[in-house]
Amino acid sequence: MQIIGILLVFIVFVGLMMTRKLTTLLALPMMAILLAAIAGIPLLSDNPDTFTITKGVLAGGAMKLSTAIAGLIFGAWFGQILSKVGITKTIIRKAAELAGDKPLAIAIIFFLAASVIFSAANGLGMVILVGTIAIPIMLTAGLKPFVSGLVVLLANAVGVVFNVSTWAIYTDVLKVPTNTIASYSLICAVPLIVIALIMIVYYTRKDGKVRRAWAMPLKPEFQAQDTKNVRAIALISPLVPVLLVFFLKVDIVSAVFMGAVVTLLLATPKRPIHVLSSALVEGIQDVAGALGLMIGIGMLLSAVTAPPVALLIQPLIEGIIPTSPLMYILVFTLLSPLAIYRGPLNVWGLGSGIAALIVAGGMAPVAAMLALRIVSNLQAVSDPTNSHNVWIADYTKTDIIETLRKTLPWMFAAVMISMIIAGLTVF
Amino acid sequence: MMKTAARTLPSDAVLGYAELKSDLLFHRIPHSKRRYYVERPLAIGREQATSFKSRYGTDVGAICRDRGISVNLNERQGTIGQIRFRAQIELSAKERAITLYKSSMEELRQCAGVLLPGRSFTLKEITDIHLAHELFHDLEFTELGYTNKRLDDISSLSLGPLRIRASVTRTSEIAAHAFSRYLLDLPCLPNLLDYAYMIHSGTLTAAEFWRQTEVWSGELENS
Repeated sequence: MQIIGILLVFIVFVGLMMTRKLTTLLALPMMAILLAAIAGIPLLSDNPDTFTITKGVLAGGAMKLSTAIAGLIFGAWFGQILSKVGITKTIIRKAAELAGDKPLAIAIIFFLAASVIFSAANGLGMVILVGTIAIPIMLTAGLKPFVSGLVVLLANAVGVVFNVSTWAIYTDVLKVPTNTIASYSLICAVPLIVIALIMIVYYTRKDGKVRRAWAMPLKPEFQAQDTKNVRAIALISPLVPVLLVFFLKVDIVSAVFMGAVVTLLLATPKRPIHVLSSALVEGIQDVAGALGLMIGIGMLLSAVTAPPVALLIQPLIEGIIPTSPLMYILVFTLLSPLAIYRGPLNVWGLGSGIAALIVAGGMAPVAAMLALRIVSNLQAVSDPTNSHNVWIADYTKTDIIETLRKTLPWMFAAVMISMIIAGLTVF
Repeated sequence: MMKTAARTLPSDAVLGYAELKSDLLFHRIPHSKRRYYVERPLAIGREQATSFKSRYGTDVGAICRDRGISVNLNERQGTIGQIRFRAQIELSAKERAITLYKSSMEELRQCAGVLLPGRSFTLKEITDIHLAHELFHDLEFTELGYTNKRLDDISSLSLGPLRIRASVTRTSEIAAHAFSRYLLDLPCLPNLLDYAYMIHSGTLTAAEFWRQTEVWSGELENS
């Protein structure tokens, strides 16, 4: 009876999230409470050692992903610093100069440059910052609105793979060390980058049309502010945290912190203290939604890994855990679309809880981590419920479902290639 | 410069220079070549307009039809982010199509008098200005070659011995504006309407605009 109740909670809440009747932000804590209650975990207890819903699931769960939350806050802070000292804009301007006057070259170079920016910091704020500079340049260069938006979407997906501040969730949930996460990044990234480049070339050249437009900025060019570039050496700043984690095995928060210091030293802004403090406040605002999700994920994790719940769920999960490389590849490739619409493989939702259970059921944490990261590539580009997808569709006046339709087959291919490599490497 | 009742209208060179300044690679153009990237496209556009007018007349709608260019009126606003699209042309071997943004045309009709006192435009005249502009791009595609490709390239990026060269794409727009102006006998380059719109919509004051034309004029004279 309890197992039916738990399954019902999963099915109903997945349905509510996928149909957007209930936000993931609220659904995750509600699921955590209901799952714990069905398994018989008490709401309160006089005994301080008893695992209760209030203390174990809600209070404990809220702090469970503290490393990931710190990583996210510091990552957002770093992103705002890069933006405030002018590094982000300078990278885009330099990319435009490098690309010259050819639309395809502009699209490819913007994709690469934006990937570097997003590897240092992502989130909706950074997507808007990059998008508002890069998309108009691409549009006036003759690229279609869909391709201009696609370039930013793909760059964001590649950037997330290398963004150290988002790795901490795998450390918290699956207990995989940071240097192990770093060492497997290329398996997630290389197929994605290759497919992304093919997509950009395909969609740019698809109709073989040249576009010329009479377009004007809403504000005159001579009123544009902060057009001054930062010095060239400062442009390496976004790579500093990634390089520190990859090569010196520095932990995430320290790497981002050192990245911020290096940025200030290389860019020497006029008011460094103001930059640091305002960047922290605005950075936290940028990731407020993601922080809320992490708290909810932590609560869900606390609930599903609590012995009374885990005992009930474990037999179900064990039945579907892949036991061979072929099954590992097939299961995660075929089920990868379940990462979109806040589905059960979404790392920013139920996916983290399911991954934790899969590992508890016997799968190697590294294999679960890789599968979750690879599936996230599809989610990052195609999911219409992503705030950055919504913003890009709105900004470029394109249809968000059209973007899903046009990107899903490509992303499915990228997931399949990465999963094959992962299956042969870690299983 | 041409005198109007209220002010002196900016010359073709000044308005062409204003267009050139919005090129992404403007700061890579050597000072000594700025006049070249303004005057050459203006001359190309003007020459083409004169010869085109004597051969085909000025009924740009009919000319587009005769050339097999489809013209679509888009009811949606052409604003994407901070960019306002007024018209665009899509060119391929199979199809050539001009899209005009209706609301944008209407806006320009309403605000034209801001910088051209006593001069009013009908919606058809505004539409013709844009059709003529896009028609020039069709001419570039089918017969002339793109203006920016016909002019000298600039060094867009230099990293030690590595030099990347690119064309100045805005020169194509300058030539298209000149084509439109001389084909339709307009008092000035039609990108003046863009500034009229900015003044009308409050993002720019008339005083700022006139001050800026003096700055542009000075920069051009010193180049």
